[in-house]
Amino acid sequence: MSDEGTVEREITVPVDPERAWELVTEPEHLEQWFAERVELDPTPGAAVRVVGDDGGERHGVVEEVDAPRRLRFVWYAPPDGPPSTVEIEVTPEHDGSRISVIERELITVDAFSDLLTGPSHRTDLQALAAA
Amino acid sequence: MSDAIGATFSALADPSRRRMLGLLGGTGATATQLARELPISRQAVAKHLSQLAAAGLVASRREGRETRYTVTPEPLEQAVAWIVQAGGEWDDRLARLGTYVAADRG
Repeated sequence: MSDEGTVEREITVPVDPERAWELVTEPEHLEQWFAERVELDPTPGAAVRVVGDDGGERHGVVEEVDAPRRLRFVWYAPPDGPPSTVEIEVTPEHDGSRISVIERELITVDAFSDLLTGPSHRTDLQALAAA
Repeated sequence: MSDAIGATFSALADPSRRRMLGLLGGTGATATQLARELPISRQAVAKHLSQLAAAGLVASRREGRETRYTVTPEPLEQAVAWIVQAGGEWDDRLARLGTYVAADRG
């Protein structure tokens, strides 16, 4: 994976890491800043569902949880949005907490098979999904 | 957007393929010409070219006995568009988070 498919952002907030962890994992708080509607349970394997202001949905699954430090989930916009992973980290700072986010484009199985066999393979899969 | 963007990124992940795209800029080149410029075999060049073609990054056309390859920048633009869009979304989200925390404490 090259750096081209990665977005990194961070913010420092004047709250302790436990509070920062609540802000990034509890739907009650997430719905104040992350998206209009957020279904997220910080448990590996739990489903993620996010509805944006524009009504656009993203679905995903929680991959890794290391409370109160790190949450990682994978998500995509149905039906064929490119999946990406989102990693949110909480780091203690002397005057609060740093919340950093890394979103990475995934090399998907489909994309990989495109490389091996050409785009026609994916067209078959999309036709199958649409059927 | 589609998984094609993932294919673009993985095609770009290899330094030889990135170097090849640079050499192909402008008028394009044949596999033989590329092999002359790169420390890899013509066979390896051909393999990289087929991977770049599968990701939609290069197009080819016959020219006499050889095939000339040129860069098709559209997938690159899509890849850049993903970064711009995802980055913009996080800028907005974290700005809202900052405002929310400030209001929560105020």
